[in-house]
Amino acid sequence: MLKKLLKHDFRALSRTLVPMQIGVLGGGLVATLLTALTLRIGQNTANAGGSALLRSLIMGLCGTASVLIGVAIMASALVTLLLICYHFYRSFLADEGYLTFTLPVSTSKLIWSKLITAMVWTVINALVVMVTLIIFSVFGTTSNGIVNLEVLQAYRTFFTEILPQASQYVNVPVMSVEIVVIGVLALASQLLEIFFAIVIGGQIAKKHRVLAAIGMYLLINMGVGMISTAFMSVVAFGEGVSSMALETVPEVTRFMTSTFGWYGVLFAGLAVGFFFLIRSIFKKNLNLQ
Amino acid sequence: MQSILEARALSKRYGNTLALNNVDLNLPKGKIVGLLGPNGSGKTTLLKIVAGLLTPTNGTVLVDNQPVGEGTKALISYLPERTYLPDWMTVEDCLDYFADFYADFDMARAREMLSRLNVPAGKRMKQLSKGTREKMQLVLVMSRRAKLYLLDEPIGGVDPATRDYILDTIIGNYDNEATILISTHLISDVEKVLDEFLFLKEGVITMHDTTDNVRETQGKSLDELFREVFRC
Repeated sequence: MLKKLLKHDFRALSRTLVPMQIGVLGGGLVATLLTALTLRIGQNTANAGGSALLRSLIMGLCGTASVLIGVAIMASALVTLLLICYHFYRSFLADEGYLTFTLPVSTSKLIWSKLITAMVWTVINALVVMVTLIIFSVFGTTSNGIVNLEVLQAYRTFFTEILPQASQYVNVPVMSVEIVVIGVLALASQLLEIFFAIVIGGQIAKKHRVLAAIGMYLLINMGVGMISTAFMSVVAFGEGVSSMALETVPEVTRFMTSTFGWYGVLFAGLAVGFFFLIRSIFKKNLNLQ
Repeated sequence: MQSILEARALSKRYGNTLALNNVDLNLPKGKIVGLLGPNGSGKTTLLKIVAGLLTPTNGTVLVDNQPVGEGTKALISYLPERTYLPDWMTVEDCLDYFADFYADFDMARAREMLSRLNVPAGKRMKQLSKGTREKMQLVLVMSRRAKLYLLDEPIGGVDPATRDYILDTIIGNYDNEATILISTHLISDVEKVLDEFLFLKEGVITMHDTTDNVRETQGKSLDELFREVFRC
């Protein structure tokens, strides 16, 4: 049944998110093209001894295009999150809940489906944003030729020099896996925290549920912040971080692995906690109005 | 006779309002039962508890001897009084959705009913009128071979001609082993199809009898009895 839930959740979200990601990529390409053209015009004007006013105007246009692309990219991440939250709200707390909660499916699977779909779409959006930024940095920042060779060289240096150098100090594959695992756990805990706020907001308010959910999120987030700080302080104290010299490679490696590990435990704990709280409300206190 | 729905000491409170008050109920298999009462008497609340959308304040509900949960949802086909299908879904999407989740969904039956009710297959829900959406939901619900149908005001929003077709559809499309619990205000329209009825007043079941018994012993139609009992 989870497969079927995923199929329908992806179908519901793809309807809006696929065009949006295509829009972000397309918008990024257009902005890259415009910026590249603007830079060339600016260069040609400068070479031809054009006026300072014209050069300023061109620089202004170039800057505006860069800002716009940044805003559009940031907005796409926010809009993706909002659409994910709206889908969750509609599926469970609005009229569509009459359909969702009468399906012969366990509550856990209903939540899993929403979480997996949300995580996949968040990652897709992040990848689209990353690709857009890479394209912009390589093709939209030079006035000589098509490709900005300096930026390309910087990317090459990162993979051919910086990473091999880093591998002398840390185990790069292990650390990459650790970062991915922590990223997944952090994303899951953050999304479940938002979902939990939506559920609580829907339970306590008959009207203005969205406002109630936002209020609940702020409160919950404050609580989570305090718990996280307390947890990491206790862990750091227990690990003796304050007395660590962090001068040698093994010390730094041990510190990083330990910190990553405890953050992983924290995010996993929060994710499990929020998951079971949502499940418990849906199973034992569901009151769909 | 085997029971399909059993409620014991069932109560539901919304703040200070007691929507259901200590309801005991036993419905046999293979009957069409009318759930009748004025507005605010607790009909929708009772159906929603059985469907698993509300948590009772007290008491228990058993559907085919199982507590309400994942297992009973596979046995129940529920038609709420509101439209719940997402706006963006096409008629085909809705059929696909029900076919995916309900093993007892009869696609051929659904298509045949949609065709007879002139529901256009390619249209999205937001493109359909409210009445057509209600027909769509009824088709989906009645195309399942469920053990218990919970129908909340199934004929409230449709014209009298369609009403007759819907009632014929309800009678013609359920197995003899299945039970239909139908909540409505339009008693004169449904009375001909009811085997039994429940009168619900202020969250209390005040009468549970067969329609034949009312006609034979009191010489009245159910509609007349309802008007007498619930006179303002």
